[in-house]
Amino acid sequence: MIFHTIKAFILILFTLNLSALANIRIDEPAPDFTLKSTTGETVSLSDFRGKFVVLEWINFDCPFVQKHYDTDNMQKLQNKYIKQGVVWLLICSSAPGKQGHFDIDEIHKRMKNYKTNPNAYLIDEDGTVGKAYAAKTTPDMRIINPDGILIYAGAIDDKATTSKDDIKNARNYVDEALNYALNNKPIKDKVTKPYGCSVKYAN
Amino acid sequence: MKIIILIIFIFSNIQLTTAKVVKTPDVDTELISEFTAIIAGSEFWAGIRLKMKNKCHIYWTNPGDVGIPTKIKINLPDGFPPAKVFFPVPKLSIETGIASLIYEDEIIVPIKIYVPESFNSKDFSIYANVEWLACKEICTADSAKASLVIKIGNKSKINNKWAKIIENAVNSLPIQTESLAPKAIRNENSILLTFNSDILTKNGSVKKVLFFPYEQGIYELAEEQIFAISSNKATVDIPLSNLKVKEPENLFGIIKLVKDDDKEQIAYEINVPIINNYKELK
Repeated sequence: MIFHTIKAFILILFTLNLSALANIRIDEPAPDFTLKSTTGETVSLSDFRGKFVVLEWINFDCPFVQKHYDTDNMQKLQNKYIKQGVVWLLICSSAPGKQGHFDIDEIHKRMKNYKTNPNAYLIDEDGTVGKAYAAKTTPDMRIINPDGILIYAGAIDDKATTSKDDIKNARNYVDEALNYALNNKPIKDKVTKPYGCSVKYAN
Repeated sequence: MKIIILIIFIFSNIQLTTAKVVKTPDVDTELISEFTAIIAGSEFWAGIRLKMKNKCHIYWTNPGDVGIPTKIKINLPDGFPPAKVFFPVPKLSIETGIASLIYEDEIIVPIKIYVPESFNSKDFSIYANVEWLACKEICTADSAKASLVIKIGNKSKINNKWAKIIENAVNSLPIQTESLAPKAIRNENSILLTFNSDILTKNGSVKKVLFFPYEQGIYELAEEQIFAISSNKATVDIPLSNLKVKEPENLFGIIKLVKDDDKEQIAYEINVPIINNYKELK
């Protein structure tokens, strides 16, 4: 009970500090969070301690996101690493009424059409978690190691375009980082510049 | 017969002075020039006029936190040296903590072209391929190919429609000057830029100075850049990103002088090595 009260207090403090610059840094503990999934579950980052976790900021109406979903690029990556025990969470920080914010049925419809099967699609409509992780674009990627340390932040790949033709020649930073991390090798580029649409936070 | 020749003559001249506007849903593109005719062996300014529609914006070469850079590729006849493209000073836009360096309404991108002395055709074509991401609430990537014919003659002929507009665009480009005497020092979470404040006095009522980096992913542009003046020095404290892609060795970009009316564009180019006391202390 006391633990839950402290946890709730920390979450409230976190919420109050929205306007401050996110103090997230690479190789430091990733901020814990709790969000509702589209299936009604309450999901916390700390639930997955002991596993690698990928956070992917999503907006299905963003052309940069569509580039990776229309081509099956993102789904293949998700499947490849979920099979290896990695937890993959989609986070939508679009505010109600803004691009990328959908009702649950629409989200499930889009996920079904895209045949994407992440561990959860999480709703962050007040943007608390997005801002804590300094998520600015869709897509924007974070990787957290089994000890809860942020080990990668940035782009999905090095081709900052909406062109689907660019995927075949792209250097996929997330694939590379996960591959290195799962094999206990140092990640070459821990921070890259993400590209995409802006995260549609509430004004 | 004379009338027909006269009509053909007038029509051909209209074609030379009026480039085609390439229309897309969000941006109209047009290649323009300060001259309709030029002497071989001389240099002149052309420009790309980009008119944003539907309240859209496009991005500078460093787009900021989001978006993608506007790209311009110029093709000239064989034997011409590459054209030099000069992007104008952008506007910093901050929305919900996300910073963008953008262009709104209409811009002229000046292009410097040199016609080799050995070039002996009666005219030549400039081709421009422009790619952009136009955003309002939704973003759309698009492109346009524009072209313009310039005549070669014994005398240069000024283009009255565009010469003054291009001249203004050229005069608004970032200035390179040694009189700034800039210095950059690495602090724990920022770079402190110091420069001679005489330049501010010269330019009237400057309310703040903003640094726009040429490189992406290093600075936190949504955070306030604290500007101060003391005696003959001015300082701008430029916050670094917590998630920066690399440690900057040089402070490389432009400083924009923001005046009360925010209309006149005055900017200076900066490229100065960063003194890393912070690293030494560590």
